[in-house]
Amino acid sequence: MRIDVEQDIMEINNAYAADNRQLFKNSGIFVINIMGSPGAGKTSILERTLHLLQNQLKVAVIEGDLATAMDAKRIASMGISVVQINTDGGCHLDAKMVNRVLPGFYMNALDLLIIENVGNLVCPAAFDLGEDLRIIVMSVTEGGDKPSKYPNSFLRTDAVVLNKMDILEASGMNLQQTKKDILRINPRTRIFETSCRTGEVCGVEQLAEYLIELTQEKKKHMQL
Amino acid sequence: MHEASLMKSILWTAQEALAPYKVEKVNALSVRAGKMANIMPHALQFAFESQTESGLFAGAILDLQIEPVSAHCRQCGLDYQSETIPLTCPVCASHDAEITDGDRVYLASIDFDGEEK
Repeated sequence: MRIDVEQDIMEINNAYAADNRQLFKNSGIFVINIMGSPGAGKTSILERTLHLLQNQLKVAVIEGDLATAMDAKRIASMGISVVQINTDGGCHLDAKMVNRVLPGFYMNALDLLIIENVGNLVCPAAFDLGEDLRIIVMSVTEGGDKPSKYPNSFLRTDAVVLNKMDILEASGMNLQQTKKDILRINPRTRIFETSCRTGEVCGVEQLAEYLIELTQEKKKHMQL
Repeated sequence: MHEASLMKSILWTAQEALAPYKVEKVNALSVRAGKMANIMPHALQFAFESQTESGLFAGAILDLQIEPVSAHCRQCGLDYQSETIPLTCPVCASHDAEITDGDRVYLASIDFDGEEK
């Protein structure tokens, strides 16, 4: 005999994501999910941006990694509230993992929660965490073909941070073509150009302004 | 990359669905996955085989269907399906689209020998 089940396998994740989203909404917190390959500069971007944000917003961070608390220590040294999630080899964060650590934050005192996902340009994109905004950090050394090779991730992102711009020339990446490819996959994506090592490129300031604006918008919306 | 954990969820869901039945043998599981669900068919097949060597699903086959992405064009309003990304509206050629389906994984049906408890 045959039975029709028609059950969405991601439903468990989606239920937790919906729960997270409600919790974030109740506290008026804006939530960002940062994704990107290992070594793209996710934590460095975070550090640079946090320096600009921390005087204006109350920020907390969730660090996702396969192992170690190295990234969380980097963030904690800035005096920012941070929780580390170790996935023990798991290739992505899911909504349940995030849900479990939320009691570790005093949510009503926060404006912005930034979740740094596991370094991986494939799997994290399939898991809604309950976030408001998705950012992909991509370094110029990864090669300009990555948006076309990993279209699913780029299709679902709100912003792309092109990092390591100080070594653009040595990387050989065609910047205009890469931007064109990103916008062809997702015409609504915002693109920021950054260099964490030198700080010369003004993309970090623009990124910080963008995040402050969106965070305040959500707060305002909540108070109405 | 997460096909193993996905398969675990699929088998757990199947087991729940079969709970009201006395099952002699499971013949096939039908799974539908959207093109945007990031599923590698052979990795899912491998996960299925390695997780069903014994137990309720031993000897069953996995029937996997990959479905296209469903999208809604934000420029001209057309609903269309696409096998490829970038999404391109077949009428106005815009890439600006909202994804309406094709990012999910469903356990569609189970074929088995058995009867209701």
